[in-house]
Amino acid sequence: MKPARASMALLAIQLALVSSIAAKYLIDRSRNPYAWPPRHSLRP
Amino acid sequence: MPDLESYLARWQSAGILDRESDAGLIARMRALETEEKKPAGLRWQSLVALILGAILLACGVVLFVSAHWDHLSPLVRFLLVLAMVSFFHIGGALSREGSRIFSTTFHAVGTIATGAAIALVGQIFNIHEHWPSAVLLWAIAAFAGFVLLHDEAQQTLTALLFPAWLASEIAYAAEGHIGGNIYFGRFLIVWAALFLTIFLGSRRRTVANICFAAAAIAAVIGISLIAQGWISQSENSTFLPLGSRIWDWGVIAAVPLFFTLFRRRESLIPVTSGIVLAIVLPWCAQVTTENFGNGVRVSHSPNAAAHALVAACAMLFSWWGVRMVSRALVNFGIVGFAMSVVWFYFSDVFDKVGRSLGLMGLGILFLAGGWLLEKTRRHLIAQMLEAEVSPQEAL
Repeated sequence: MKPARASMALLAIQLALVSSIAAKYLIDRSRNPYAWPPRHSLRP
Repeated sequence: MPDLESYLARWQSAGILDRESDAGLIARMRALETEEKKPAGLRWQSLVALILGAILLACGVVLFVSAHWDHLSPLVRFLLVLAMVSFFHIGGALSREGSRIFSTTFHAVGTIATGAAIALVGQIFNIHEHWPSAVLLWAIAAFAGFVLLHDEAQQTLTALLFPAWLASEIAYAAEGHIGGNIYFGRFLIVWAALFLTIFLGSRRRTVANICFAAAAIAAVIGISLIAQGWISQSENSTFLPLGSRIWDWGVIAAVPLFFTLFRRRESLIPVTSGIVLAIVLPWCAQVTTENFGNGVRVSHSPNAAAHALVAACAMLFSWWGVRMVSRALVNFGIVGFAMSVVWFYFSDVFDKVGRSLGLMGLGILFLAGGWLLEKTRRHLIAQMLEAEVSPQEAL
């Protein structure tokens, strides 16, 4: 793999890992909208 | 420093050089000298200015973002976090062809920033989950970096983050139970024994040195955690359930043994001695019970056997350093031995004599002990160097 391509692949993997946490939140919310934490608690 | 002309005159007078026949060589040497005298591209002053500038810029950005963090919506916060990770990796990708070291640094900071990003995204979305999983995610991110880039920085992060994840799992499982600190300390001791020896002789010097330093610190922390004894957080605390204990021992002993057997069999003795120390050390304690008011206070303090065990283990590492021809391991063992003697003096001797006598004893201990240890260290290193030279002589 070319060096620049490897760097971009690493960026993609790390962004996917970070985004997976947000995705988990969205999945949990869609399954149970009344679950803790309430949506408004995200906004201080 | 004498210039080229004075050297040429000296070589000519000694008959080594002839100005006429070696004219080509002299011209080449003059050209090289002129090249060397040119100002270098990046002197240390500009390097310091660059580093300072980068730190100040980063501090300013962090301050600006943290001042406005509360006013940002979750989506904007999330995008900011993603931008932070992207910035470093794109910087790494752009500088990959031109400057390898800049690229490696950018990617290393990018992987460290990924850890911060994982924690921040968890906080942005109020994720209240099994927190060691966040450390696992970070370790996977570093492992991906190692597989794709083969950098020493990414390898070092991978080598440190996977044990950090295992340590987090042990800390999570032991939370609130009696002796949670003991299991955590046991983990640190055995993994320190593994990391002190598994990279010996590795050509990847950065990985080996950082892992060695981390292991040396972990060993000291592990012993001090075990020395606290079987602490209970409250009256209702219980010992760890059997299932958790089995898993913990798997992580503490079985995984390092597995690594030792399949990656470096020479580490078997240090790792096994680390396991023995981890099993026995928590039980080498003096238990004292004090009655106060309507309660009872139970305190644990390490007994003479605990000090002797730690000192013996330190000497074993020194001996192993001689066998493996590792100066760092010999020094680690000697420093460990000295620390265990000072620890014994402070916990068992210093309180029992008067303050002035205690200080005098400490002075004598440092003077005589320091001299003796330095003599032993030099003897061990000389022995080690002899052992290194003799096989070459035999060839």
